[in-house]
Amino acid sequence: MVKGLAYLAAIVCLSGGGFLYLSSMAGLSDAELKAALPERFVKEVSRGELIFHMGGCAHCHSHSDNKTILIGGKGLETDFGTFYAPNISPDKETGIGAWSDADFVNAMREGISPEGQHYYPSFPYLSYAQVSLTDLLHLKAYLETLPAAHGRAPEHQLFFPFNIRPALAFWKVLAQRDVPDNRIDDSSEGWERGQYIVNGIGHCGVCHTPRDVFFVEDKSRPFMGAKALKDGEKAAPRIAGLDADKILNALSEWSGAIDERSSMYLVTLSYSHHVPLEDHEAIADYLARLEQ
Amino acid sequence: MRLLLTLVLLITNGVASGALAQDSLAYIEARKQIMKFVGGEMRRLGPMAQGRVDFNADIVQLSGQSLAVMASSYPLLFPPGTKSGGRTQAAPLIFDDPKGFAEKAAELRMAGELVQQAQSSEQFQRAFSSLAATCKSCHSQYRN
Ligand code: HEC
Ligand code: HEC
Ligand code: HEC
Repeated sequence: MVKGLAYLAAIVCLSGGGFLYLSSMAGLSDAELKAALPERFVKEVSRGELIFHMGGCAHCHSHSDNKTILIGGKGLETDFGTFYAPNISPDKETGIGAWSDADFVNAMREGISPEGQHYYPSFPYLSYAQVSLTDLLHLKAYLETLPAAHGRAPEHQLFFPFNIRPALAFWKVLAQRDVPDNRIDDSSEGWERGQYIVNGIGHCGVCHTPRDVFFVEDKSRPFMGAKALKDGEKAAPRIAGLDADKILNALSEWSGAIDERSSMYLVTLSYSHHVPLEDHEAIADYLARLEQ
Repeated sequence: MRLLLTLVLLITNGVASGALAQDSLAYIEARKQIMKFVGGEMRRLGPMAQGRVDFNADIVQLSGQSLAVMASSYPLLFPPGTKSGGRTQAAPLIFDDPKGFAEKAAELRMAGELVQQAQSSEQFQRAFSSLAATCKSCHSQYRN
């Protein structure tokens, strides 16, 4: 881990100046987004609500007891420093209430802010990039129904050199290079639906896939288990090729399989309470099929 | 159910004969398998307690009974020599305080029996919440 961090730090330092040109990577415009959507597309709040729970947005973006108040999160401690997930409530000034659909899609899929800044991968946009445009817009519609909360999260407290945001451009080139572009249809069923959830909105690989020296998910060893992002926390075990019953247990609060102190427990709670059991089956079916 | 009983018997007999205990890793895996079944029963009952799935007295009776059976085997599942190894999450306290652990297992057995006897959705829901509390209270003390 320490060696990996040193590599990464060196790369980030070197790239801080040289790769600025990459930071002009642009996302979709509103017109392009519109053209990419099916004809007569209508946003559905209830579908958005399911996507919201599958994506665990509240785990990071809410520090309130009321998990629909997305005013920003408690600090997310990592070996790079502490991240504070910002306000994504519909507040127009401090939240994302004034964002267009394209602004939202670009943040979720490309990791770019409306001002063209790169986001840190502590926001799991590399996974959310695998979510269909329509599901993202259902999600946005749901977020718009939640209470507007006024207030800004604290600035991230990161160690040098990770605090140089423009340097993320280089990291993104590394990280995006082998993200498959086979966005599976969000209407698929069975194990394909599982694949859609696990690789996309569920962002299971963020914790369960080991990372290479550049801290990029190692796509040649998907879901083979990884160390925790913070020393001293429980590691995320291998879930590829795991027995389906174990996977179903892990998604059920009542099975007692998941330790309440582990970072998985919030995932377990969301899936137990808000995600249909057919989707649990689909997830288990997909993961159990992966190479042992 | 029959399969389950056979498994529990096999494993607990294994302890008695000392055969399994010699291979502590295999033993630990077998014990985790029983715990996994316990989890599976709860996973089936949870959505029913939540009202997502209709109350079904037959399922409740069967699950409650298997939980009680499995709970009875718990004190036998942690013989000396299986304190560590493999991926066990057993806390050392189980081996230092076997009596306390056995009491917790007895609570689980009784909670399972209450579920087994539930005749209505309301009775079931009450029994289920004390059952779920039993899991948590033992895990917080005896599982790492
Ligand atoms: C693991 C924690 C985590 C999860 C889960 C997460 N986010 Fe975030 N999110 C962050 C962090 C941290 C940032 C800030 C990144 C940065 O500053 O570069 C962020 C940034 C954002 C932004 C940009 C906000 C702005 O003001 O620029 C949006 C929009 C967003 N997240 C939406 C979501 C949605 C919707 C979900 C659920 C599908 C979600 N996030 C899930 C951690 C998370
Ligand atoms: C925030 C990090 C994180 C995310 C995101 C996450 N997990 Fe986990 N997961 C963990 C940790 C840590 C554990 C170990 C928990 C324990 O030991 O109690 C775990 C345990 C599991 C297990 C149990 C494995 C076993 O051997 O019994 C399964 C199955 C699992 N996760 C599946 C998933 C799926 C499916 C997703 C996506 C929907 C997911 N996880 C998302 C961190 C995560
Ligand atoms: C008497 C104490 C006790 C009670 C009561 C108890 N457990 Fe456990 N449980 C344990 C211990 C100890 C372990 C760890 C065993 C090991 O790893 O060797 C465990 C492990 C587990 C596991 C993980 C199995 C695996 O694959 O690693 C599950 C699932 C589980 N318990 C579910 C439950 C559920 C559900 C209940 C309530 C119905 C429950 N337990 C009640 C002590 C208990």
